[in-house]
Amino acid sequence: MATLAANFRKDESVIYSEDAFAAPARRATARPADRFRLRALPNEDVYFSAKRIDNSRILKQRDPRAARECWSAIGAFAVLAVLLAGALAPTVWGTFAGYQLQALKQEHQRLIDERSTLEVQEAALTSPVRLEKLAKAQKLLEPRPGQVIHLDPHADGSMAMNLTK
Amino acid sequence: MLPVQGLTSRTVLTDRQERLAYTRRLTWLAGGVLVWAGLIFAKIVSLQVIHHKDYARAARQQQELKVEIPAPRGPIFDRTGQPLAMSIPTESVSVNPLRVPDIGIASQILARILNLDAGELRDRMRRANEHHSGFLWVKRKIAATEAEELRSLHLDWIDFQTESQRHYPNGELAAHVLGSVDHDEKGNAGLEMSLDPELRGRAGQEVMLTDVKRRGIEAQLSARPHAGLPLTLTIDSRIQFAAERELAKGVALHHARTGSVVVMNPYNGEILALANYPTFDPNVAPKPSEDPFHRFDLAISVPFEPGSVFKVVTLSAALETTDLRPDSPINCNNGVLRLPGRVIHEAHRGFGVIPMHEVLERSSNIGAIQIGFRVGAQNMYAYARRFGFGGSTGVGLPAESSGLIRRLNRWRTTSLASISMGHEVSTTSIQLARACAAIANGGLLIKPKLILKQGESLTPAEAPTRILRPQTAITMRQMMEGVVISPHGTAHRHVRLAGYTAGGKTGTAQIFDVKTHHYTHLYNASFMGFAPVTNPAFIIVVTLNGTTGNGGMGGAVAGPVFQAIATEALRVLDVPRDLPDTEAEPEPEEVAPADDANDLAIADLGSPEPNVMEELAMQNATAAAETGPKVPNFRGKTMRAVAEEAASMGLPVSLDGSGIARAQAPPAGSALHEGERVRVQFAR
Repeated sequence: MATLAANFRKDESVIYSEDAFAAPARRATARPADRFRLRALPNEDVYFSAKRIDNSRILKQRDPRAARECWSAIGAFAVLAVLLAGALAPTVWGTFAGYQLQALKQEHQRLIDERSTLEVQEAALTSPVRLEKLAKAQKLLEPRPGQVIHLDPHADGSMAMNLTK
Repeated sequence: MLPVQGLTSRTVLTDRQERLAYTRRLTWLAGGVLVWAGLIFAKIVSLQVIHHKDYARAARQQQELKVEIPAPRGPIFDRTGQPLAMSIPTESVSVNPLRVPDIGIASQILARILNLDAGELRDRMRRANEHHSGFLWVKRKIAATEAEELRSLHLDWIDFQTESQRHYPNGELAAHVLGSVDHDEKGNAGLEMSLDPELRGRAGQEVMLTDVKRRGIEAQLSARPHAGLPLTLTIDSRIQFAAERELAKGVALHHARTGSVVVMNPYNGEILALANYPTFDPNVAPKPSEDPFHRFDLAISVPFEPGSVFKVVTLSAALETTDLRPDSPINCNNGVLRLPGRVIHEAHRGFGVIPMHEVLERSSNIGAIQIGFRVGAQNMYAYARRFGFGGSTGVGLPAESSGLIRRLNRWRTTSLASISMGHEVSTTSIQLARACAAIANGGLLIKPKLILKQGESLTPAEAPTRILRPQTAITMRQMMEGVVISPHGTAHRHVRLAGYTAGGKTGTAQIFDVKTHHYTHLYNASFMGFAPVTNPAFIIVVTLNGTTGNGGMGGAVAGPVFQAIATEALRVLDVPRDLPDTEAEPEPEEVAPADDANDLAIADLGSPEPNVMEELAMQNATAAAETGPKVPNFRGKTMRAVAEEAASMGLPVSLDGSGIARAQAPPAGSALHEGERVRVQFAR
C-alpha cells in the first residue's frame, strides 16, 4: 500500500527518471523473482535522527498579550456556548415539557374516567333499591311524615344542632 | 550530484507540467465536487419535490399518532343530583386472525377469560382467517378484570379498543323514563331516544407527535370534542322508587296484569315519578325472545277507558256551565235509567235523589249521566277537550298516545251518557294526571315536564292555560276530598293519610277486548288524587290493569297504592302536616265493602258499533300503515346487532343466513304494516 507521499510523488517519479529518489522503486521492480526480499518502501532512503536538545536553561517568559488573547478566546467560546445553549434551551425545554404535558393529559383523562367509574359505583351503592334491602336486613322502619328533622347548619358549618353548644 | 544547468531546465519544465498536473487535478476535483453536489441536489429534489408526499406521509405515520378525544354521552341525573345514567369508558377486545399463531389454542384462551363459547369463537376466527380478514371483534365492552387478565398475557395479536358504555346504576329505577341505548350508544327508547341528539357526544381528535417509543411529545387539536349535554330530570328517585315498589306490590296483591303511576307537581307540571309495571333493566340489552311489552311506557303510550275518574270532568263542566252546585239534588232513578236502546243500571245498588257531591263520593253512574245531560253534549265535548283529552301532552317521551275522544258529530245517542261516566273515551295516565293537576292547582292546564335542566340552563316552563274558574277548581277539590273522607266515599277505607288531607276519585272500567269485540270482566282500576287538599304538593294517578271482582275496584286496588306513595312523597318533600295525628286512623267502617262496586262504570255491552278502543286500535293500525314504525337500516350490521335493535323497537324480524346483513325487506325508512315482518338476509 502506497503512502500519501508516494502517491503525490507518482508523477514526479516519472519526470525525475534519473533522480535518485526513484531508485528504490526501480530496484524493487527490477528483481521480482526474489519473493523473499522485502519490498522497497517509499522514501526509505529518508532517514530521521533524533537530536537531543537541552532546553533546561530556557525560561518561559510571561506573555501578557498571549494570555489576554487566550482568555479572550475562552470568553468568546463561553459566550458562544451560552448563546447556543440559550438558543437551543427553549426547544429542549419544549420537548421535555411536551413529554410532561402529554403524560399529564393522559393522567387527567385517566382520572376523569376513574371518577366516572367511581360515580357509577357510588350511585349503585346509594341506589334506593340497595338501601331498601340494607334497611330491611337491619329491620329498620321508614320514618313517618314529620319524623325526619332537618338540621340547619351553624355559622361555622357544623351540623350537630342537637348536641350541646 | 545533478548539474546546475540541467536542473534548471528540468525545473522549468517541471513547473509547467506541475501546473498542468495541478490544473488537471483541480479540474477532476471540481468535476467530482460538481457531480457530488449534483447527486445531492438530485436527491434533495427527489426527497422534497418528487417523493415529498410519500415521505411526508411515511414520516407522519411514523411520528404522528391520531388520538381520539372521548366525548362521552351526557349523563342523566334526577332532581337531587343522583346519577340515573352515565357513560364510562370500557374496553373491547379484537384479534387479528391472520396473526394468531394457533386458532384453536387462541380461542380456548380467549373463551376461558371472556366467558365465551370456545367452539363458536374458533369457528368465527377460522372463517375470518379464511376470508383473510385482519380484524375480528371477540367481545365488546368487557369487564375491567377481564381486560386486566388479557393484558397480562402480553399477546401481540390481541388488540384493545376503548369504547363508551352506558350504565344505569339504579337498575330498573325509572327505566321507562330513561329508556335505553343500543350497542353504539344510540338511544332506542325513552328520553335516551327522544333526546338523543342532545345527549350524544361528538368525539374530537388530536394529532400527537411521538418519539421512537411512541410517547407523546406534542399534540395538536384537529377536531374539538363536544361532550353530550347532561340532563337533570324532574324525577325524584326516592319518590320514583316508592312508586315502583308500591305499584309492583299492588299488581302482585291484586293479580293485575300491568300498572302505571304518575306523580306530578300540579303547579309546574314537573313529573316526580313515572312508573310502569312490568319493567325492565336498561343495563341488559333486549333479547330477541324477550317480550317487547315490558319496555312499553304504559303511562304514556297505552290508552284505556278511564271509567269513573272521568266523572271529575263531567262535574267540573257542570259547575262551570250549569247552575248545579255540590248540594244540588240529582235524581239517580233508584239505580235504573232507560235510554233509547239501552238500559243503564247502577253497578251495585241504586240511589234515589242525592246531592251532587254524593254522586261523586258514591261514584253513581246514573247520577253522573244525569249531570252529563244537564251539561249537554256540546259542553261535555268542549270540557273534555279543555282538560286535554284527545291530544298529546307533549311530555317529550317517544310514542305518546293522544287517546281518543270522538268528534261531536260522531257521537251516538248514548255517547253523552257513556262519556259522562268515563266510557267511549280513551285516555292515558299522563292525560289523567294533567287533568287532575288542573283541579289541584286552581284551574290551570299545565304541560307535563320531565326535563328540569339541560346542561346548566333550566328548561323554560310553558305558560299554563286556564280551563276552569278558580272557584270551580276549589269546589271540585272539596268534593274530591269527600270521596276520601266521606263515610260513603268509594276511597274512604283505602286512601286516608296520617296527618294530611287528601282528595281524589276512584275509577273502574271494564276492559274492552279488541279481538273479540267484547267487554271482558277484567277492570282498569284507577285512582287519581292529590294531597294536601288546601295546597296540593302533588297529584298521583294510579292505574292497575286486569283486576277482577269486587276486590278489583279502583278504591280497593289503586287507593292503597296512592296512599303508600303519597305518604312517602309527603315525607320526602317535607310537606307540613295539615291534620293532627289523632285523625290519622280511619273512622270505623260505615259502609259495606261491596259499595265500592258502585265505582264500576257500566259499559255499553250491546252496541254493535265499534267501541272507542276498537276505533283507536283501527286508527293506530291505519296510522301504522301510513306512517307506521319505520324500518331501520339493518344493512352492514351483525346478526346480533340487528336482533337487538329490532327487539328494542318491538319489530318482528326474520333473520336468514349468517354474517353481515346484506339485504332487507321492506327497505329502510318504509313503514312496517301490522302483522308484517322485516326480513333480513345475511351473507359473508
